[in-house]
Amino acid sequence: MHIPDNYLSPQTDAVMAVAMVPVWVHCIKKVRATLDREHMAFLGICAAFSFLLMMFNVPLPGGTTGHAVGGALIALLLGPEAAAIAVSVALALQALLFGDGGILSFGANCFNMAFVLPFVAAIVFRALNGRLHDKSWGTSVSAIVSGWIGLCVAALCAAIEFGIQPMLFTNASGAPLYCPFPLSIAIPAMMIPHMLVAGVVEGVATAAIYGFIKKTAPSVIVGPEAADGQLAAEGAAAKKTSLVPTLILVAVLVVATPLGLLATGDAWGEWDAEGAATAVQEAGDDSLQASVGLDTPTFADALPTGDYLQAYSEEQGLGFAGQAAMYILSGVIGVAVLTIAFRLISLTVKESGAHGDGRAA
Amino acid sequence: MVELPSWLAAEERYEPTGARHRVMQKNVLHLASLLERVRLGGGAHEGGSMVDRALSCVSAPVRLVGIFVCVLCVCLTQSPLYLMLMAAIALVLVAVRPIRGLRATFVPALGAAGLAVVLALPALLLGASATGAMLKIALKTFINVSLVLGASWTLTWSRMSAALKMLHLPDEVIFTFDMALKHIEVLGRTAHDLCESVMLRSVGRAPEGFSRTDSIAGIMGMTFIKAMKCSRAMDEAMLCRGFAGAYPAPARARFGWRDAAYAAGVALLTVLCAVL
Repeated sequence: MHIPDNYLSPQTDAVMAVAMVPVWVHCIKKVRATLDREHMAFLGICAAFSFLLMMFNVPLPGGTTGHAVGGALIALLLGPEAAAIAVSVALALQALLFGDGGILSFGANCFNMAFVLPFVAAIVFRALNGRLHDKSWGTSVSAIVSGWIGLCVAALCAAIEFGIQPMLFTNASGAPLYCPFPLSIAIPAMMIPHMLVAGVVEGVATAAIYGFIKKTAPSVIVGPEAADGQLAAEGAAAKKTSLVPTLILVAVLVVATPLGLLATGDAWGEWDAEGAATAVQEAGDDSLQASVGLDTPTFADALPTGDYLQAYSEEQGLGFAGQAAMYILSGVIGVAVLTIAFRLISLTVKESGAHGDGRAA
Repeated sequence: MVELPSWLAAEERYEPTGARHRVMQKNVLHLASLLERVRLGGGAHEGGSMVDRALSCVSAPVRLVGIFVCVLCVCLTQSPLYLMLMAAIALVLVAVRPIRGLRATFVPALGAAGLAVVLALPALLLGASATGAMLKIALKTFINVSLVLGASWTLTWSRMSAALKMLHLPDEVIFTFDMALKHIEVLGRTAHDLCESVMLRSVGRAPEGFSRTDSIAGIMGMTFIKAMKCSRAMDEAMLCRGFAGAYPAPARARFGWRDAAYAAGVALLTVLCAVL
């Protein structure tokens, strides 16, 4: 779902970036008002979590790959505004350091994964959990469904952004300048795999990790469930909060990142120019024309650390072990940078929170 | 009923004048941060991360040699992979530090990397197409500065002086190093106090003829006089205690398993530098 540069027109990129500005402003204000220093540091761990989850590619029907985002999980833990900031920072790091997702299309990627996903997930969770929270399975089901719907709606937004390109931007001969696939192809191509696999992964990961943190560190949860007073406050307060299991989970995820390499193939809409031309041919639709603007050099092409050092390892002819080492190294750097960034940001935040009553959601 | 004297009863309207103290405030803050940094030598002892505490247990000479080798490897390498590996190590060490350690090591390292970029900017503006090289220099600067500051964060100054002696550095060098560190704090504190007193003295009356240059020259002059007094007092104290500037060599510490583990880690990094 990381839209690379050249797939969206600069006009679309600009509109999406401008649309994100008020979202970021609102989210920063809300987070400053509701999260204290401890929760800001936890937000850094969550951003690292999201960064790692996005490295776990899963094979999707049709020979492409996809991944969970973790936006729903952070929205449930700390509120959708905090999730928007965490995922935006993780996406910025991926784009700048590892060339995953475009620089120009950063606004569009943030709109899909940092805005739509967590806000939709939080709304769905709130609606479902309000009715189901008194059942033992209620919160888990709400978390699964909210993660699934959140990711599917985000994928739909990405598909629409792809699909409107050939309608709006073509050259004199009618060849598309950017993404060559119209809505009739982009929507099913994005939606079906995300509904069948990636959305399920997002939902299950959200429910499992949310349940885990609710057991081990309940006091860090200030998301929709806490805001609605559905979290067992006495139990949460009485239980000693420990972030150690969460940190261990992050470390395990770092070590396990090479599993993401097992899924071969590119994600839909993330090909290079040659891959996109092949995809047009394989679509079997004679009315489709290959795009003429996809081979413009991008920032990601010039990045020596591009694609989580996979470009470098291919250049050096490294085997799977070498590629796995590169992947782990990228994960370690990403987690460390995000942790440092959020710990420094937390210095600007008040010592203890006003989140006692006013929640992030 | 006691009548107030006329001078006390007179109404005073205090209107502070503009930003005449800004330069003083900046100096005070700068000096305070400098003192904090000097005082943070070996700050890990008062609450470092688990990794920092483990590193503190390694003997100081081994640490100094290890850091020197690591810095040399980072300078010599041309491999982006090795740089990424060292960056990952430096970042993880920084990320697990408490906030004080994070500030003391990461922020200056980032500043140094930024400075490296700024220094290289004219070359880029003049047409050199070496963005990659510029980024590499900035990354190398960041790694080296954060490693060196990490060493000072985990080693107290006294251990550092002892380590320098064990590494057979001339006594004059160690003496200068020792005195410089000690007097940076003593004189920094003097200058800080003087700045504060000048600011307090001029509250409500920053006259027209107020000169920042004169004030700062006065503070520097007083600090210099204080330095001379300090050096004389120290010379007398040295004579009294029979210290002629020669440092006794500390008993050579045993090369323990922690030192061996640290040395093995550095050796592995050196081999990787050669191989990658």
